[in-house]
Amino acid sequence: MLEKKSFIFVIGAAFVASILGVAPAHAKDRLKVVVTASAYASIAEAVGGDKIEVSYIVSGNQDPHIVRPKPSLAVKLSEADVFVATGLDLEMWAPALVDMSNNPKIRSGQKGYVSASAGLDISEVPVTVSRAEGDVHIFGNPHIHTSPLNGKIIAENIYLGLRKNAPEHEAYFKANLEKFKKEVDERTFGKELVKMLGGKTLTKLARQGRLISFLEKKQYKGKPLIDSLGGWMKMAMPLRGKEIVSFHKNWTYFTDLCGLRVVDYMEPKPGMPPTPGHVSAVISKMRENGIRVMLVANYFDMGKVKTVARKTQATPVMVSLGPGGQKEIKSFFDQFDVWIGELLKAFAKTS
Amino acid sequence: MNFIEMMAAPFFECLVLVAIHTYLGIHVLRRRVIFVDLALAQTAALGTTAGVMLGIMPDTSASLVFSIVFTFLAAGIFALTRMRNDRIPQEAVIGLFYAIAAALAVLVVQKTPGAEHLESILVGSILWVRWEDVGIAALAYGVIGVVHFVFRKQFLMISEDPDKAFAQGMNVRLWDFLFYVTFGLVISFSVRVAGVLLVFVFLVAPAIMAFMVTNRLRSQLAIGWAMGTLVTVLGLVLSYRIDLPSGPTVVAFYGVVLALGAVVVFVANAERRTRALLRAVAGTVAAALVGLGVYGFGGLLAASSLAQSEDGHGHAAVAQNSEEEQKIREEALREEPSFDDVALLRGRTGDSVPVVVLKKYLAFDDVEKRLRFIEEQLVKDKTTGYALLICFLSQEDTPVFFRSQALDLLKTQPGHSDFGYNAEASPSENKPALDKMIEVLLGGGRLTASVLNTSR
Repeated sequence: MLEKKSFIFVIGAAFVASILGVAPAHAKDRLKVVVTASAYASIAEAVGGDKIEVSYIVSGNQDPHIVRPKPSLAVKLSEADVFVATGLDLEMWAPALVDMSNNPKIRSGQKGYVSASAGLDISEVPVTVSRAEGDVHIFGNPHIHTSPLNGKIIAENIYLGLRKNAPEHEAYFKANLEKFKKEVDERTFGKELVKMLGGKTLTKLARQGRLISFLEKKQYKGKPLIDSLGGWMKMAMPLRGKEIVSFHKNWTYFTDLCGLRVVDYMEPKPGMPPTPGHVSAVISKMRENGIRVMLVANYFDMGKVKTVARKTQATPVMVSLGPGGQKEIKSFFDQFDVWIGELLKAFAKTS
Repeated sequence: MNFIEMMAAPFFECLVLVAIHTYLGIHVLRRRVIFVDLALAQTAALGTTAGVMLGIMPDTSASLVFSIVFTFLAAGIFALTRMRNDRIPQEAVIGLFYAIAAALAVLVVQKTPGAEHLESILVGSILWVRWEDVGIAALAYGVIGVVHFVFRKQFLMISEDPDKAFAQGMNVRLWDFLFYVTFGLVISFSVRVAGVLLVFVFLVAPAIMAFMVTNRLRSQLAIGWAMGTLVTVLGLVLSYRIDLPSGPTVVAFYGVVLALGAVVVFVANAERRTRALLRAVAGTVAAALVGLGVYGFGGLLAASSLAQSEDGHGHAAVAQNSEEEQKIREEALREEPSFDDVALLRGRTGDSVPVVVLKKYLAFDDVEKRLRFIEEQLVKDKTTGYALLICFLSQEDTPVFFRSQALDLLKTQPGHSDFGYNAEASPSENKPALDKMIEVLLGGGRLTASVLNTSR
């Protein structure tokens, strides 16, 4: 009897020891940057280069509103030198996680904290704030990484954060930042147009929604400037003025830039699950207006989207909201190639 | 789109579900293994989730097959654990099985990005059911129904009185296994559409209503089917009318109907009906008071929690970027017109521009605005205007289009020349042209405005 008990004890003790023995190994020389959304990781890598080590919490095919705190996340954050969050109320789970990590320097407002949205023009800031309006974001739409132009500002914010925490690499970060911003401009508007008008002017025009009319009106050497348009804006020209339906307000910055009109959402109010009355209203609207394309982040239930698509003969475009959620989307830049490409395919199919 | 078109498929799906689940529910109540359904349903969900981890897309027949395999394994375990050890009731094993399956599903989801919506397996998505799903379910349930009809005696015997069945020499374990296998099959189909909660309610609620009224199997079935259909239809209509998610609405509505039914049956069965009725009314009032009390208590707590978060102890610190921070940010990023820039430009244009004006010019972040500023200056004071124009053309970051606009501006001025400046070349390549502009327009930088005026 005693032997059996001691046998159980030995086995038990060995088991406990083996679990306690599992400890993560890590390097220490590079600046550790933890970001919430995978898009920020891609941007941070561009700015920080080989001087930092980046990891993200939410992949492109995960719902950024909900993250269940895992022990590993607290560990990750406890070792972080810099923590990049959207800074609006997207990541309501983040403060609890930061508390759990017991790492005072990455708390909101501290040296290691970067608000990715600082200095951005935020869309859809509500006039009245009430949770009855759904999972409303009281500071406006927080899915900021869906516009390449916002990427430049996010990069600036990350640059400021990195500079604060590793001032010795300031020049390196600055050079990377400028390179990144130039690449965003060239990929968005095309090299030729950036050379002619400059990234700053183009960004300003696009923000004010007068880029296309400006380019159509003005000429250079007798040729309308619009002929020199390239990049994603050129790619997205056929999408201008087109109407689509979405699931959640994930895409506001993207659709605004491309001139797409999101007529309605499957959610009755942001963050609330679709209800029968609302869905049937959306379906009627899609039929009446002949809306045949849906743009939905692929973390939503494909079955639901397909059901509506079938009832309206629409083509659902289900894509990852950021890098890592789809094998074609590995970086911040890839996402725009894929989103625009898939939308174009869907519209080509319906016409 | 109207009610009928929207709700037709969910409605028929509910009918099909009620038909098979009421019958199985009667078995489950007799066996006193209520949670077997939850456990099997959760196992089916675990199967789907684990399938996603292995690369089987949810919503496909492959994933259905995979989840059925999981429920078969569970069926085997349930058959093995029945009647083995009297000290541990089977319900405990089943409950534990449910908890472990649910926990495993959460763990698997964690390791499987993209399987997030599988969490919705609890609530289901009856609203989204497609006609072919309804057809497939009807077919599968029909086959199982036939099997159960053919072997009804055996199935009833092992549910009702396993000891007697054992004494008669039946292979109870085999029949148990068969029962759980058919049960698991039904659950695998229904959970995908209706979700764990709704399936559980379909299984248990109509059966309970029937049990409250009668003990005869046929009457139980009839009452269960009738009540199940009625309550489901009303629940769906309610969900459409008040525009709430269908699954949870139907579940909650079943709860209300069961509570009302219990009161009615209580009064009906009582020896003295008036007294029972009074008691029922008193009970309802008491329940309402308790409800009000909880509501009021919640309000009090809400007020205090609000006060707490205003103290700054809460998590309200997700605050927006304050104006102060914005200012700091802008300052940190601003490309201050460095002393070098100012000096360089002043050097080139030979002090033709007052420092104040030059700084003002450089403070414009926007090329368009700079150009407009130059235009204004040209009207006010030619020398300053020309000098700024030359600054504009000699800056590396002035884009090509605006250089050419500046040249156009220059050509409208007396002289009508662009001095051979090429807008597409860089300022350093344009040095001869710029030098010439300085020479002619600014008199080498040393001429005053009056000299310039006379020189034309």
